[in-house]
Amino acid sequence: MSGVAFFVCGTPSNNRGFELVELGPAKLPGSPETYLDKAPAVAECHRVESVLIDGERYVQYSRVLKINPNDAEANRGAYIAVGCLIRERLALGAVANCLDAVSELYGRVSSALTAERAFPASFRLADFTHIGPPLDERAAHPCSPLVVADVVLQALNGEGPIDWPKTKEVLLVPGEMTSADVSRYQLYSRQGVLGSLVSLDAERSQVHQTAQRATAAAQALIDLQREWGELQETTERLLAKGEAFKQLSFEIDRGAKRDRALDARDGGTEGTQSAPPYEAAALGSYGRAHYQGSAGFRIGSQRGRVGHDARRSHASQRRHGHARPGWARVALVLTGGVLAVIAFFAAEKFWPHESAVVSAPQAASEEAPPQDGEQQKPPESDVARERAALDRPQPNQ
Amino acid sequence: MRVNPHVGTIVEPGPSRIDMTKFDNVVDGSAIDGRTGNFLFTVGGVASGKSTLQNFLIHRLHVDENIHFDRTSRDGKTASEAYLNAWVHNIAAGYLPERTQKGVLREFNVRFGQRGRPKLDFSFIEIAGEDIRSIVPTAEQKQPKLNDHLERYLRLGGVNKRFLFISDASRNRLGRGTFEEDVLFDTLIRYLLSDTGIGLRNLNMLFIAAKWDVVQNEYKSDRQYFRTNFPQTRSTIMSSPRIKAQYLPFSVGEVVLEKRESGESIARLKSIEKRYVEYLISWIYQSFTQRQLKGYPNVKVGLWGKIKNLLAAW
Repeated sequence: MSGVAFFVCGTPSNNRGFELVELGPAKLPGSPETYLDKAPAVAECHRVESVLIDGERYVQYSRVLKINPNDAEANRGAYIAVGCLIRERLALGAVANCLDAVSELYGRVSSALTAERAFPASFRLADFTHIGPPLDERAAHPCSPLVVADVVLQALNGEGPIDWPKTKEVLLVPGEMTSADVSRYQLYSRQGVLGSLVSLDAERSQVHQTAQRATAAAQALIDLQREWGELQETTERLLAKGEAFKQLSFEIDRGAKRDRALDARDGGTEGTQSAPPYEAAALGSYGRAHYQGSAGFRIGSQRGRVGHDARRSHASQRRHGHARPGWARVALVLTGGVLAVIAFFAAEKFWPHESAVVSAPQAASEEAPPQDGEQQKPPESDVARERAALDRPQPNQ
Repeated sequence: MRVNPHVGTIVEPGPSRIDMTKFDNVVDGSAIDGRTGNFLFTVGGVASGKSTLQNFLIHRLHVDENIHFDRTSRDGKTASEAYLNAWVHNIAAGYLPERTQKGVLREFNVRFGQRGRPKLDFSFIEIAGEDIRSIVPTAEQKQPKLNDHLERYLRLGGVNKRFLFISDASRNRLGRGTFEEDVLFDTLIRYLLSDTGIGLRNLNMLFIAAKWDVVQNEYKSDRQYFRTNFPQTRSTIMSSPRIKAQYLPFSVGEVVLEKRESGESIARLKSIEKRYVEYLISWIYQSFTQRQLKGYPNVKVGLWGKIKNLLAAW
């Protein structure tokens, strides 16, 4: 019952003006005087008002009484109000309990009024406190005034679960009764409009629980969807990387083949006429012409540059007077590529970021410093693993 | 349906009071910042008579045919105009205003002038005494502060500000004063001038002893009233060259108590005293425009007045 705030307010004194006492259990939201300080238009009334406070809707119930101020002859709208502000939707029995508590407080406050309907000069509203069981417990009692009224009516009509001719008295103890006790005593509040309201309360409670479960399930589903999305993104990234490395290896392979072909031509082991055209060989061996036009990882293998590269390589070899073996070139390119990748990831991992240093917290515990070898050994990155997987010969190819 | 009146019965329905709580022209704070123009602040304790004085001011501006009075709101909203119309109605019906709701602030913009005189355009606000008294530290008020909206109005730059300090004379009967208002006014003035408070460079104010009719036979003059009941406030005023203060007694007229069936007593106006309110109108007009309204009392203190004041101070 945390959403109910009981209060007593009013203007017992003309000179002191508005006074307010909060009785709990919840705290009054916003600026309470802006929605509580209202003189009644009639002498005595129950006031039920829907108020919007900081964007939230509350229901204010109060018992209001016009009074005379204790320090002025003229009345400028003096009043006393006792009530509660309810935020959440409560069961009918709980609302009845709140009204019961308000009536009790109202009785205590108004009992201090004199015959002139003014508070004594020494009266101070700020001194008013709640006496008795805590108000949050009061509001949660299953034995509400509705049940009491039900039993009284049963006694009047001589019907219901109690054997009235043989029963002298029935004691209802709100603080000790359980919901089962209450349902045993109910008769009229199970029937008609009131009964439907009571059953509505029970159903509402079930619906509330179901809604809570549905909300939790929906939240879990949303989390699952988010995780699935992240997984998909990761997979796509991985695929893109794989594709790039596949192409890189293809280009390297093709370069090696080209070099071998050129070496063979230059070595005169085979005549120019019998050598298969480069393009045809490349396409023939891989059967993937579409790689030729790809934009990334073109290491000296663009279609337009093939002739030029071949000629340049030929001339160079002639200048040096001997032909460089093809495997050496391949090894050189591969080693260079691997070193570049390792260097890049090592730099990424160990590059000191200034912001991280500034905001890095001190180590909580002292650990043994890593060995030099361990410190210098770069961790095996995902890229290296992916690369190894790509380099592994495929059974279908 | 046509009703035939009973012969010999005279039915004279009494004028009813318009319930002011049903108007929703409440300041929500969204249109305070960036305001310019003239502002009149009426401050005082709880039940000191701030609303009564404002009601009277509007009523008088309405009923004087020599004054051209315009209370239509320039923002096109009619709620404020309707509220002021209700003030005029209630005063005309003899009803003094009920207490202002705590925490609720209302702003009004009006214009008045005369032929051949500039029209004075000014705004004023209605606020509960509780929201002003909260500036005084007490055992309950551990963090003294003014109403947030009032504070924002007071901090407006580029605005001409005038202050009416309302004292409830009925609470300062001769020999029975408690200096409660003296503490409030002094605290307020210091807060208005202090750099840690509002930080106003100058303070132009009119001290008003409301409900003067209650004590006018006890004090020799209003001067004696202010001297007796506001020693610290006057000390602050006299020691600061930034404060310009004038004093005025004020009464609405003859008030009678009307007993209701419910046992409550309601204050009703039996006759209206226009003398004091005309002084008030004259002071407002003169302090903002430096001009004098035709047919209204002169509130500007001349040389002879200053000499008289000096002699009286001795």
